[in-house]
Amino acid sequence: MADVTSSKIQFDDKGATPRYNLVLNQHADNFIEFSVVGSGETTFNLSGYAFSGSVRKHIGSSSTATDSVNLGFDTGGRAVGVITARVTAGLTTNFSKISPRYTYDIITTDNTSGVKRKLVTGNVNVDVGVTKVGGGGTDDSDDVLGSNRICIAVIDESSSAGTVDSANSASNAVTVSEYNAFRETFPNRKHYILQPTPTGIAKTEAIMTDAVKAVYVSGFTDGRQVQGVNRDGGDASEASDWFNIVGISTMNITKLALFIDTSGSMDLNTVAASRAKFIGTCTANGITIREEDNGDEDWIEPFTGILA
Amino acid sequence: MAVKKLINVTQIKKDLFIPRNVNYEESFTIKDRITGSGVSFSGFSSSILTSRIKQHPDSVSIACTFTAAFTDASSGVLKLSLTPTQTNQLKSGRYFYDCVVITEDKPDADTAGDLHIERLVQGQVIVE
Repeated sequence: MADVTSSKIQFDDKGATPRYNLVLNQHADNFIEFSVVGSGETTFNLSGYAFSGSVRKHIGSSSTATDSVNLGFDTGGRAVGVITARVTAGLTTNFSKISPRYTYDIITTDNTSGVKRKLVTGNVNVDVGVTKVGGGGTDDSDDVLGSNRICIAVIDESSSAGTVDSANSASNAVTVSEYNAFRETFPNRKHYILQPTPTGIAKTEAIMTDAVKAVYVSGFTDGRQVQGVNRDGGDASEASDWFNIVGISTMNITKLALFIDTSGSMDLNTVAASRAKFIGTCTANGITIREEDNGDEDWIEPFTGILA
Repeated sequence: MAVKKLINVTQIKKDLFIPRNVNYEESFTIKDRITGSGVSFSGFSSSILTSRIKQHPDSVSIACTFTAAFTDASSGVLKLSLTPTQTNQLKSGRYFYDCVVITEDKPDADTAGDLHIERLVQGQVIVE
């Protein structure tokens, strides 16, 4: 949503690089859409090109976390000469207010010839921001995104084959990259996996691969990665006490997020009594439950977005 | 399905004059920079508005938080409001505010979405 004096830039063989200055918002994502035309303002097909770019303190400065912010690109429209540049640095852009002028450029690479050319360049002025929202605990006030939310996944398996591993192509298991993306965006969300099993004993290999086990950080602090719970089938006498298992009574929270797998191998009835008990206990303790869903036996995706 | 983004949105810059000890509200219509029509925020999987007032933009402490909500999301109309208690707690003087929208759009129901934070409104606040 940055201002740009004109989004139309000419891209031809004459060698001149168009200059457009940008005003970018601090503590926000900024999208800049460029319409690229050939000489004579003819439509230019950018399908054979790749894009790279950066924002730096000045030309030639080294890229550091504090004075350089990367440009990402949405190339979905490049067949009709439209690319969208997104100024990114995690969830928010963190420019220095003290010296808010930068420079940027965007480089194109012809995928066939390998020839690189500068598509556009210019100055960046940063408009300082007041409201700061961040998933990584950088929020300056109330937890707008639910960045500190307790996340509870009740799921019996992530694979119809019973075990998730790289050789199991039917597996819906969370990948390391998916898990790491979640962890990077929301490092303060505590994640718990409760696994309904016939014995009440966890079978971790049905939930996550060895690779994910190696990186997974459970909300349980005693080494448990997955906690087994009962498949109660709606029988109150078989209900598990999720509230105490997770240890919510020791947490000072008013909201939490809950995902119950309903993909087929289990459904809401599988844990109906435990769920009812949990909801009742949470309500009695003034805790609001945000119930999330997912049809792919994915125990991370339900917690990757806004959990306000 | 392409992920929806807010592009070419006109950012509103407006200074606000707020009397103390009364209700205060201000509405804004967010418009497309090219078409001039109201921007629809109703197509996202989820969106939240949040708006803070600070003595200085880089202050750690917050002087006050607007209640921010869409009154007509499909036309880009949002409202910032304060209660008499809130306006009374503000000391007379100059402050800064802005309003950002956090949008989440998911390619499909079972795929993690993309979170974007974009500034819609900003300016100074003069508490009278």
